[in-house]
Amino acid sequence: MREEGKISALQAMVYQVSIVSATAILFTPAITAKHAKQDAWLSIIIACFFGSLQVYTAISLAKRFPNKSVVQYAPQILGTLPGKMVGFIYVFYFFFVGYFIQQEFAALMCSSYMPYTPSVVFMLILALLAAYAAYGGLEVICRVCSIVQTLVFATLALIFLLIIKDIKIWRFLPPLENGLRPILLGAIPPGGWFGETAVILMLYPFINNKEKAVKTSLLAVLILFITMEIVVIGAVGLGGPAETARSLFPTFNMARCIKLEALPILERQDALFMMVWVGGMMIKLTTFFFAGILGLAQWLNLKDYRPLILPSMAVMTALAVQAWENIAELFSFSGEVFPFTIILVNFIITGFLLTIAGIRNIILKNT
Amino acid sequence: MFPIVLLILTGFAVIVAIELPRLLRQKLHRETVAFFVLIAIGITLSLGRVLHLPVPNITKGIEAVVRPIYKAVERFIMDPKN
Repeated sequence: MREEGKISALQAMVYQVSIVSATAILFTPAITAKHAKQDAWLSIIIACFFGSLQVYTAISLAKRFPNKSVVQYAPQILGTLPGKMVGFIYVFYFFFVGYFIQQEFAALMCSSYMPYTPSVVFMLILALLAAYAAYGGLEVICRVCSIVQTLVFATLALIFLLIIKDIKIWRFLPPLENGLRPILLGAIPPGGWFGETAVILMLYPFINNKEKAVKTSLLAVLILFITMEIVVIGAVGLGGPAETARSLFPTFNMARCIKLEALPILERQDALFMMVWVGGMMIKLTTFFFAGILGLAQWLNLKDYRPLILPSMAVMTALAVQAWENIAELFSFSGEVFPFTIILVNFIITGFLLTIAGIRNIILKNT
Repeated sequence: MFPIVLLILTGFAVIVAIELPRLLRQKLHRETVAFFVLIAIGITLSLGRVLHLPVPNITKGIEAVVRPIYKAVERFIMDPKN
């Protein structure tokens, strides 16, 4: 494998935040409020703990093999054939989330902005941009992530500050109306998304100050936690839990709801939100696509991942078109099937690898 | 139907035209094989979709495995007896 350059632990953190934030911002309120109602903000707290556990599991495994990625050392832990199979699951997972993102992106664009354009156009454009970014390599992607994430968080902060006066506390009452059970159920999807930060398994070999990686990974979960809380409190406080659960994109409505008598120019910031969200989505697809393509090249023992970029992109887009027929199917999938699928990979399989490595006591310090 | 098929094949031809010269020049044999396997998967999936051929849907397979797990967990969490 060709040297892919080095990144700092802080850049890895930005990569981890980018890999979750774009969809989390848009889809968390509706999916969480569906079960947890006005206690959605409590669900996010539970999900945050679960997410920290997942990323800690991942980083404990990564620390045992500082110079290799999970696709490379899985055969050393489990033996050649089972290890290769587990490696393939990781590679497929990245592409799976990749084409899921393409579909989500197309869903918002088709339902809110350009209803007459076929959805495949949006998927293809997003995939071509991601492929172009992947040619740049890891260092370039990390720097672009930093720029885009700054804009995303600045916009989100602006929107939240403008709606904070309209948030009604009584919309969060009564707390724990139906006990803890719905909150736990509502915590599963965001818990799964927090777990996506386990991408550190692929990034760890490229970090140059590895001793800081644990701290920055947990910091990434904290940043995501704050982001999701802002979005959930904003959406539920503004529209109430029933309205939030019913709408497809509550955050988007939140930006549309801004009302200011004194400064009408700041009203209805959905165009601004849209702009940064498309950028965030592009970055999110890039991060998954790059992790997948890197994993695929390592899985096949190739010297360079670049020749595989365009054909993989084509396969991913074809899978995206094939996967879901309409937006209702996609949303049912994203609330019920998708979180469990990624928890299965990020937590169960990673935990399994860590357990086996611990039992067999494999630690490769200098390979 | 026919123009779409032509469009898809043109798209894959462009990909091959961009990448293949460099692959052959640098004599990256493993990469070339992997490249063509991916192209073949891509053509199968996209033409299968356009021509309504019975191509297996991996997403539906994942759904068939994972949805029962979700249902079981949902029942376990929401069951007042637990």
